[in-house]
Amino acid sequence: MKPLLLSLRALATHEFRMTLRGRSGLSVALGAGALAFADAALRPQSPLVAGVRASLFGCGLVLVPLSLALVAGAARRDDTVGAGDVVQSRPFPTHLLFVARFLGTYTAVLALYAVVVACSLLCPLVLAREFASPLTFVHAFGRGIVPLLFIVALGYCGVAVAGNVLAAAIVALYWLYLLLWGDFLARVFNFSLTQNWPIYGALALSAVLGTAALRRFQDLRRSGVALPLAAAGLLVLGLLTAWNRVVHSHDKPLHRDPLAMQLAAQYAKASPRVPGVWLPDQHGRLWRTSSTDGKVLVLAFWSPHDPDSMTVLDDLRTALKDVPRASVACLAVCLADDHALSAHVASEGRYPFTMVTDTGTHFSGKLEDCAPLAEAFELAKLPSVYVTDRGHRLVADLASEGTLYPEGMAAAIGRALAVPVPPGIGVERR
Amino acid sequence: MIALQIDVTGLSKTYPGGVEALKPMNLSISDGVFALLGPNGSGKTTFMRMLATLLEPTSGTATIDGQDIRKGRKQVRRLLGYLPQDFGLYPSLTVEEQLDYMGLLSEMTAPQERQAACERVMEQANLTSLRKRAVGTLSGGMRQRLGIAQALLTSPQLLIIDEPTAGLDPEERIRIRGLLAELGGDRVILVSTHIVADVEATADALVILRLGEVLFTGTIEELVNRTRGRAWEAVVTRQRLHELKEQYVFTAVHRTGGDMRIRIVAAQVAGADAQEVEPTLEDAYLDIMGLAESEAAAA
Repeated sequence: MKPLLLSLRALATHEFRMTLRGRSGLSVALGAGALAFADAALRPQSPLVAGVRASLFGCGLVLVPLSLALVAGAARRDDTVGAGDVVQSRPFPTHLLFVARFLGTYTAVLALYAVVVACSLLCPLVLAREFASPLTFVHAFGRGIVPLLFIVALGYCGVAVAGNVLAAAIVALYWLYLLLWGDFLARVFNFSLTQNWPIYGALALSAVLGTAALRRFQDLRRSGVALPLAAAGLLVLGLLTAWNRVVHSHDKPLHRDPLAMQLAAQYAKASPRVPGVWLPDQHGRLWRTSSTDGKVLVLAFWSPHDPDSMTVLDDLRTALKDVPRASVACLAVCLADDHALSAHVASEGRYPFTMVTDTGTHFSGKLEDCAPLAEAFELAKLPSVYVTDRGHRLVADLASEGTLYPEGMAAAIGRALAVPVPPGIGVERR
Repeated sequence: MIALQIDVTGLSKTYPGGVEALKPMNLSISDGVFALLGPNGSGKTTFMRMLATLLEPTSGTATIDGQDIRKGRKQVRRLLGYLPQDFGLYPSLTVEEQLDYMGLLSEMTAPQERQAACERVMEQANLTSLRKRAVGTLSGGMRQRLGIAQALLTSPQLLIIDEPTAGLDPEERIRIRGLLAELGGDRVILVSTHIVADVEATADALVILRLGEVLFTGTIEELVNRTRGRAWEAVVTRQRLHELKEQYVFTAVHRTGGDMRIRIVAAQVAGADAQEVEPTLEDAYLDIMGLAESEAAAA
């Protein structure tokens, strides 16, 4: 087993070199890095924003098409250079060579992605002298690992089975469809979301092992048992996970979660109290509005898809410096279809308040339709900050007032603290 | 070293669409350099690809050192080194890296073992000075030598080389022939070619193929002996040359002054002052091909 693994590693290393070496490899890396740098330069120069953009733009728009082109080349390399017979007449099993090549190409794609993330994070340093923390790099890089695994596996196996690079173009169309028509698709189909990792990780491995089994059969006229079984097992596991994910989440149009429906059904203007919130925080624990009974509540809405809205987090931190923390609870609500983003931003920015993700967020052209809480608050723009008194009655809507800056936030919190708690008024609880 | 034995029994190949590339063939090869000679489309490459386990035979089988090419593909691949006629190598790798890659595919897991093998074959193929050159920058002859070097990596008992000198300049052709002759000492080399001079320079025995059919199997001497008494030389005028061309198989035509010196294979030559000469391999080859064509035409 050990010699086999050594061979796999060495062959993958060769494949990595063949994919990236020379002037073409350097040009590809420089081109991808330059695009990422340019994208970061067009946005506010915070390393946090750059980290988020690295995974959204760098991975989704730069690396996905690039990696499809690379894998199409890798899957057809023997045919392109005419080395098929030389390679196939060797005793090393062709199905394992297929796996080694996949690993080498995937590693090359990850290396390019590391360059893209590094260039994104270099931008704030160059333009604003702001250092990104290593954690930002790790998170941004980590968010691309499984989506790239899936896209590389799909493209590589598709081209290998079809024997035509058009298969990679079809995969690219699938990605384009997700990007352009996400409004009408359940999130479960979006392989770039971190909560879908188990699904698409399993499906990617299933595709690779299944194609390897096919290769083995084509070469040796024997299918074996282990490979097809592993591929089928992973396929079933991926599909079951997807099914489970759908029926236990608010993932319209496939499924609407009753709790998320209740969340959305609260209307800010119908009650003196602000809508209640019960969502997982950055540590995965359920956060409830009722846990802040008797405290002034500051609710801030932001989204990584609107990088400008991320500045509210720093403003909030500044505003909270001089307020009595025992009397004030602050909650930043992230409207993102990716459930890991707010936790990543929370740990990277070390924000002194709770962050939750509205897990019902769905890609939508209309802000108030994109998430149950956005619906409940009839959110008109991002960022938005609401301040309540101790009875959780709305005291200030800072976005409407035009006071979305630290001093304005501190003043609103001061006003809210001055409001006495009305006897007998509680908050809507769950 | 005990010579490797190749036994071919009724091996044939018909491609989809009904093209019969190789008619059922029986053959036994045991040692030395064995040449497959025949024009393009005679089935040489098909036969070699089947032996190299790259092509599934339609019927029959072959065993290499007792291993069936259908059932024991992996074992057979361990015994052979193969150089196809049209082969490509990875242009971005250096010569050394290319050989290392091929070593890995030949199940050489230990880096030291691979390195030693690479050094050995680079030395054999005179590639040591080119070790750092990118494969994409090599000339045709250098690429061919690299192809032979990769086939030699595992010191295979059977070397299958398809048209090794095709498209090479005379100097490289001589170099490759020399290399093949050197290698033939302790292994079986199966080399295909349509160039008779290559066979003469390297082979101990040969098979002549025409349209997928075996016309001859034996040593060069045996083949030449078949044509003894059938090789003629004559000096004729240009006009006479055209008349004779219609009747006989020419094996050579040279200008000599205002006339032409011709070489003919035939039982008898009428209408020219021809003298019987010692047949060459080329005469014998063209004779056997001409006879086969006549038989086919008569049939």
